[in-house]
Amino acid sequence: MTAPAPPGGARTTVEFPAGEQYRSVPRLVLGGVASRFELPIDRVDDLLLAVESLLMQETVGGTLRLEAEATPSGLLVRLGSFRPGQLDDPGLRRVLTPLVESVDEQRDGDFARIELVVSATYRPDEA
Amino acid sequence: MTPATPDVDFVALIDAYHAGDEQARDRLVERYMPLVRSLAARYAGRGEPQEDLVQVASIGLLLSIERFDTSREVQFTTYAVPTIVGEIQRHFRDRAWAVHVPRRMKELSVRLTRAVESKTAELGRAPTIAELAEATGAEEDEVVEALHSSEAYSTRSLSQPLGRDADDETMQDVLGVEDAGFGEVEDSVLVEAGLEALDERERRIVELRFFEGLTQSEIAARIGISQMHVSRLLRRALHVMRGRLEEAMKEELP
Repeated sequence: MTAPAPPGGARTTVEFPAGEQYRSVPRLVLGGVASRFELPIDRVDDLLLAVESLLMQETVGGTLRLEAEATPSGLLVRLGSFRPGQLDDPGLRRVLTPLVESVDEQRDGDFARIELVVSATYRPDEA
Repeated sequence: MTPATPDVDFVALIDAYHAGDEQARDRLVERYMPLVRSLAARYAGRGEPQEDLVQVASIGLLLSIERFDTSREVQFTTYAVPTIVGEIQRHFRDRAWAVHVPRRMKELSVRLTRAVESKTAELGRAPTIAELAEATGAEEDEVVEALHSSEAYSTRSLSQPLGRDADDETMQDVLGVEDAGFGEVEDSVLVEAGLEALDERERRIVELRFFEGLTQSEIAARIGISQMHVSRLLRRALHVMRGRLEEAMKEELP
């Protein structure tokens, strides 16, 4: 069962430089966002592993954009931009598929963003 | 305790220094520098340059000379050694805090480890961050931060190059042989080398997670260990495989 997403959505967006020294940024952000969901920590761990794996792919430009959004189906994470065709790599698919509920690539011209969805119940703020 | 042997020369130097004779202090420093180097050497190989450790240990010696009371019936070295060692240990502690994690986070991490295990047993699944916050009395943000700082929460990308070069094969290259069964995957020389580096349990965990699709908690239940332990073993397995594959690739190079 999933709770309705909050009015106006709950989207967290962060941009950070591509590069190993900034990889802790999405981990901390996503850890914080994931705490707003009824999400066991092993599944948070899997999501972070999936994102870490994406961060090692060939990116386009020197800045990465991470969006985490509460949706009716759970936590949606978008990360980009990458060179299109990342998911054509069976190796990456092999890694990502067991870690999240769905993986998709959204192409936009010469760029692509990867979307990961983790089924989870949003936890509304307590009064 | 063995009674202190009077060292007239030493006492004279200390008294002279305490009376303002800087040269007396320098002579004392010179006399005890072998002790300083010896104590610093005990902490070699822990990631700090040896010269830095000698410098830090020297501060401990200077403090000892400054504070030593000749009326005490103890050897100077009995007083100086713990002071010098204390300075070295403080250096490591301060460096660790600066580079890694504050102590309160480390303490929370320890409490979280226990809480994860007890809550998993109680709930029959891995706990959420909110449940861990409640169990430990910490704020949710603190739990996120502490989990982030702990080994169980640190992620290791499967697409890091297995070798030193960016173009080297990655773990996902190895795992991503499309539609190949586990046995077929094993046929790869590199994969075989990596998997052979694992003990039976680690190998089984990699197989269950990436080939059979079990969750960490399901693996934990099947093997009879905690989810956090599975997380640690999984990452350790990947780390070991990576090291072994790197070695194998070096051997493959002409």
